[in-house]
Amino acid sequence: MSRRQSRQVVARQQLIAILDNEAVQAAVQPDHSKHRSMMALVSAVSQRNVRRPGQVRLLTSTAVRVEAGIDRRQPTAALLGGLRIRDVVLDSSRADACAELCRGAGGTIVDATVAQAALAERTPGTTVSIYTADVVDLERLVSAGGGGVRVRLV
Amino acid sequence: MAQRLERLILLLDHAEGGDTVVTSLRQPAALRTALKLAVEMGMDSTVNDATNRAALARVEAFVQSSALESHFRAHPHARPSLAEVALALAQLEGSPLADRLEIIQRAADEVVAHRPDADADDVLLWTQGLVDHGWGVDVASP
Repeated sequence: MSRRQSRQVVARQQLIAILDNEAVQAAVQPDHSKHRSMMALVSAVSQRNVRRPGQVRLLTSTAVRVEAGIDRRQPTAALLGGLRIRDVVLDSSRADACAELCRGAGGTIVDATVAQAALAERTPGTTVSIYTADVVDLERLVSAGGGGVRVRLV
Repeated sequence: MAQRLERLILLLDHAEGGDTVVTSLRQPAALRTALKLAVEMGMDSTVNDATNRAALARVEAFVQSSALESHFRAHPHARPSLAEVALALAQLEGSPLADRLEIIQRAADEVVAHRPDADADDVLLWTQGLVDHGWGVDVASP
């Protein structure tokens, strides 16, 4: 396969970005030091979705929103809805999976929800990435869950 | 954010699993037949699902793009450069072009001379072309 063909294959992948605490805060707060960097990510997602509707999803966990103090009912969180950053809800089965991750790798409850949300999205043809300020802990949790998820520094 | 966009976002938040309505839709006959055939071949469970999923994805993309533009009008300093967006896309894809900002920057500068409305995908394709022709340090295929 030529490099240009490989570029075409890469461009057809389903892409999922899971945002940890700092990534979500940076996305919704225009005065955050990493806001422009997060806007580059969201712009990349948006441009790809205009070309290929539905190809890229932005997710966060409900536990992250609690930790970050982001209430969707407040006007300050309106950007979260507009940018289509969706919640992964911590239901009973996800809680079980998070507890198992914490038993195996330690870490905080919030980190476990982020890792579990990412691990649950792994399918052939899908690239899943976590955006976090806490790369070491998230990599440990992802590894405990079998790997296959990229962890990127915000 | 404009009121219409706010209403659009609210509606979209309830678009999946909410109330349904029966509506008539004028479609090209060949498209209708193609949809039925594609569903028979496994594209979606029903023609209805296929139509709704396609419409939902288009509206989601439109809202995301509109919300970003609205945000950038209010906060111009937050608008990233084309090269920054292309780099973010390369990182998201796990592309070997990621972290090669100097080549991506050159590609972004060059591609807008030919296509003023170029997006991040255009830049990454141009970047790959530069790499293929030996500009900069070689980047391996994934």
